Amino acid sequence: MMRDITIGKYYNQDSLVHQLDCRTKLAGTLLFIIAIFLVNRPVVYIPCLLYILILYKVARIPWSYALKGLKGFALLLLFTFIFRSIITDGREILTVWIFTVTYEGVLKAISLMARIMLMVLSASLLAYTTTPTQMASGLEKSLFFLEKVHVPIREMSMMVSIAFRFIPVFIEEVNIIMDAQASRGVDFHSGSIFRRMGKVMPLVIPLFVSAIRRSADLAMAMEARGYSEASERTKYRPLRYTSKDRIAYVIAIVVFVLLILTRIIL
Amino acid sequence: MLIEVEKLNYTYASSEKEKVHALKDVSLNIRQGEFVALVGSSGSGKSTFVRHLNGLIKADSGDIRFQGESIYQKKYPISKLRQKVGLVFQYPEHQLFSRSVLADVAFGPRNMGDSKEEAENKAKAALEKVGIGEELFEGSPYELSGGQMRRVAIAGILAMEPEVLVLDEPTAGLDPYVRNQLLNLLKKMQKSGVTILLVSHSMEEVANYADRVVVFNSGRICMDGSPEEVFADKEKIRKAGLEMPQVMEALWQLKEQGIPVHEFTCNEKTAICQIVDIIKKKEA
Amino acid sequence: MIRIADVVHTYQRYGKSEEDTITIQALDHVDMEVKAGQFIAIIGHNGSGKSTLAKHLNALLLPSEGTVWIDDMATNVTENVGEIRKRVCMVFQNPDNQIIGATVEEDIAFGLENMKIPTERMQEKIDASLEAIHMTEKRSANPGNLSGGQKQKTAIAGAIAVEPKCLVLDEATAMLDPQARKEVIEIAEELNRTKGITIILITHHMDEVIHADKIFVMNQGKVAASGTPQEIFLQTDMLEKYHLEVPAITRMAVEMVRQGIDLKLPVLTVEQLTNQICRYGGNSSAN
Repeated sequence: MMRDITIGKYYNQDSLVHQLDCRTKLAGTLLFIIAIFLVNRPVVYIPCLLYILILYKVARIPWSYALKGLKGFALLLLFTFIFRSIITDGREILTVWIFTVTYEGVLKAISLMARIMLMVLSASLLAYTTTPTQMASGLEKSLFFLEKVHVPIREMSMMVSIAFRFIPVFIEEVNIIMDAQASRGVDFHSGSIFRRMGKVMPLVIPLFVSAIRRSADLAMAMEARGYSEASERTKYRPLRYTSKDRIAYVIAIVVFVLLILTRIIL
Repeated sequence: MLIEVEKLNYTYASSEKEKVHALKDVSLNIRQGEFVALVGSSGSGKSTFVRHLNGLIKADSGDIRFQGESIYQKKYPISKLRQKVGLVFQYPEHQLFSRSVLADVAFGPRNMGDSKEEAENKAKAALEKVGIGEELFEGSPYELSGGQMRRVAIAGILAMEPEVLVLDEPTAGLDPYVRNQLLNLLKKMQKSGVTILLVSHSMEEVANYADRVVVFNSGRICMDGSPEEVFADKEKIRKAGLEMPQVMEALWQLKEQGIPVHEFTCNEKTAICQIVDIIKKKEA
Repeated sequence: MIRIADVVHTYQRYGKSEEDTITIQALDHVDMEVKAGQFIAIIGHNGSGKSTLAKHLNALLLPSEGTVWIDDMATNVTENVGEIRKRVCMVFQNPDNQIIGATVEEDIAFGLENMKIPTERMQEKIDASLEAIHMTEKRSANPGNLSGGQKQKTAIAGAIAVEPKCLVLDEATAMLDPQARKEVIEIAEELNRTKGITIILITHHMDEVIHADKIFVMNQGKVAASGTPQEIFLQTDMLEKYHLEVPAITRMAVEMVRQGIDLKLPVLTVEQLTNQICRYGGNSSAN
């Protein structure tokens, strides 16, 4: 299952979306996510999905990638769906033991699922089209005002970008350790949930040890290359807005306003 | 025949855009008691191949038969297979996790259903084989030196008493001294009947220890034979991105320069005798 | 350019109780001198102290006793550290644990950003570094998709982008396959030759050090021997004693001499042996 998680993997491509300033993409994603949580008509999620899929097309990222990003959340989605359908009161559709699935519940479940899916899709798009370094410098610049109240934004953005950079390395490591322990007879894929919980120690401890080793190595490598949290750094690619960003902002705001309007009109 | 591999194909997605055809129609038979070295440049498919042997990866097509039975048939007991075909990963010390050395080594046998006592007995025997003294049994595996950790990790596989031992670059990063110890242990195990499959980057190692060399090149097996046979084809070895063992390289260069070398051998002593003979004859 | 004077490095290893805590002496009165432009190799088995020594060269570790001087700047003076790290750069063992950028270019830029190189001057420096490692076409590649050798070369590019005088390869080839090792060593040799960068190569692979100007052999925290490759490879017994590998060809030549063949030792490469034998054969047939 870990093999399918693609979040945090930059998809190298030369597209309009890739060229946008990170802050533009951040703002666009944020506006979109706010909007989909304000939308209250399930039918509106269809144009929302269309909008996202078009953005994937413009970014020249295959739709299969959009799906791959969702796969990692399949369990969460399923759980949400079942949970939502049974806890909501309303017209009864089906009763199993003490659980009753209701019409209103299913409706709510669908819209909640749609929200999560759209959120994941838009966040994945941001991750696919923005390198972690760009992301960090975008966050750094957008939130720099917080430095005034002694929030260490620069260090935090460096941390975030490194964390992102190491996600694929870590997933690779999880796979190797799982395979290695499977070779020693651990079966990660069967047994009751409690038995499976017991099997995580042979996975978690080596991972933890490796994480510590890697961070010690990395800290040393960064120090050797002159990194010091105290000092100012120059930027290889300083963020600059271009006309493309202005157009993108307009589109993002228009979409946001349209989605909010559906609340009033529909 | 112990292991029969027939026309194995395997493809995976390496990055966003690319698919890698990692194994192409790989067929290979392995007899019991052989010491086979699998060599090839990085990405040639040898590491992917060995993960098929204990069922960690399932091939897209083709078949693997272990002791005559296809491991891909329904209800084949994969856990039994993993006990019989022990696979030691690269840098296996990264998989240690228990509080004590003994518990870590006993982990495999415990998973195979042995009682605590049985498992610990097997673990003790395995630790003895790799030369880890009793005084270290109760200590934490993380307090050992790099070479000791490697040996403990290998003991973790040996404790399952496999019939086939597959090792993916077990000597990477080790000192020559520790490395030779380990390789001698493998040779000893072969003599006691265990089949050894060794993935290696060191042609010197291969030339000195293996009875048979299988060369992988971009997902295919391109050569298969005794070290002497395989390293006799200098051109093909070079094409596979490999180097010659120095002994062989020397013999080849001598022949090219007109010295009447007649026997191409990977054995240093034989090679030396031969060269010394040739020179002494000339002197006489 | 580098002077190591009587350096001792000790550290504590904490045990379960206070009595278990032991002091380990990783470096034991080490003296060493490296001149600008040299290609130096430091060899030794695992735990011999060679890697600890390397980390003293750009103030990642500080001596417990003695002093390390880089161009007459002592590493234990805090004000010197910034300048020292501009002059001595390092590449470490694990290719996955030292690349910070999400693309090759971004990673090379990391050091430049730290050194406060102005944005407009970065591109040319990055281009030059990429050129030096012959990876210009990989500039926007994701380091995750590179081979081990390419990752290490990227790390080298990141180091030389700040134009250091000295590059330390701290077991940088230990996790690579022979092909990749060769590539990395060739780049190091090229940098030494064409740009005059002092190279300090820390390794336990003997085949990598045959072209070095000088070799230091470390054992138990001490410099056990030093000399040119010719001098070091002559002492095969010494190398074996310190758990170092003697290349097969060197070993064979020693054995042949023992059996009465007249060869000039040490033999470092296959060519050196075969050429000598051919000449030998030629001479004797002429007699």
